[in-house]
Amino acid sequence: MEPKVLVVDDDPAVLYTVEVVLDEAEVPVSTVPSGPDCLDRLEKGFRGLILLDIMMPGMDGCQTVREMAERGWIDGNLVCMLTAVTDPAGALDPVKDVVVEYVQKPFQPDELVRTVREYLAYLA
Amino acid sequence: MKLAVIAVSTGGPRTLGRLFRAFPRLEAGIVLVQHMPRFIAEAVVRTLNAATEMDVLLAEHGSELQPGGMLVAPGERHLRLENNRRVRLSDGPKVNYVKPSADVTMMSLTDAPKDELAAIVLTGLGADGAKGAAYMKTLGATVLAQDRDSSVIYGMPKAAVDTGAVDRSGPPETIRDWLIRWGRSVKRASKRRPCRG
Repeated sequence: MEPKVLVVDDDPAVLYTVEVVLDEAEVPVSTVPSGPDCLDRLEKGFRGLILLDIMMPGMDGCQTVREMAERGWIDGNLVCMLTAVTDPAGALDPVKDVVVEYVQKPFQPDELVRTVREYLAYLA
Repeated sequence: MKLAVIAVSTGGPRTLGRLFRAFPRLEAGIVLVQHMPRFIAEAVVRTLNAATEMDVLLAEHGSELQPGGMLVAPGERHLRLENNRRVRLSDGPKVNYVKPSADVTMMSLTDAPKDELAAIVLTGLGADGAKGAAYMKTLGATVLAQDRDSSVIYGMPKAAVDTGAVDRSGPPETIRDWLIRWGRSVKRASKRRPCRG
């Protein structure tokens, strides 16, 4: 089944953990380690739920979302920030009408699965 | 007619799921300003319609809010209420980085009889809804804000609290209970659609 969830994080441990949790929940998932890789997937046609780390080297999560918006790749995608930052302050203000959710790491697997399923339902 | 304006952003869909779980039909009307991509607005309406006894519609220019109705502000348009009832959608620059902005909706309201207005500010980044809620307070509105513990992001509720206008804070379930008491739920056999303009 084609993945409907794309996880974007520079931490391999996070990518692995989220992939395992969602695999066990039978949610098709794909992972990439950077913002540019995320944009590449979007250019190739990915549409779905994007779990996006904020703090990444190079292009961070906020820049990635802004780039998505500028390239017209918002429609069909929901963005959920997956981050250890407890208070994003103003960093996300310019993209807050695009970012629908914010999941703090470390996350509870059950909570993550529930959140992912809820948002996939909006895309159904 | 009683009128509640709800402002919500990041974390909104999950919070609205708690707020409107098995929600009865009220005699009041509700306007929901949820910051969200335009393309999921219909899905939000569908989800809320399934969860509540309210008649939930995507607001259109000229729509008229009715008791028992809930109008959801569409993406990328500001929503104002003429005479606290008729929807006026407009373009224009983002306010507080967003469009629709809850501040724009709230600040379009005018005087209403005592206890007829409520402003509710839920989870979200930034400060949208704070200025509007404070303005509604001057019109006699009751102002509620989601509490810190239950908020995905406490930015918007905190900004509202910081204005000094918030009457009470709590989790979505507490706000739900207050809304039901305030809106005096009424039983109906089936949903009735509010008229469109």
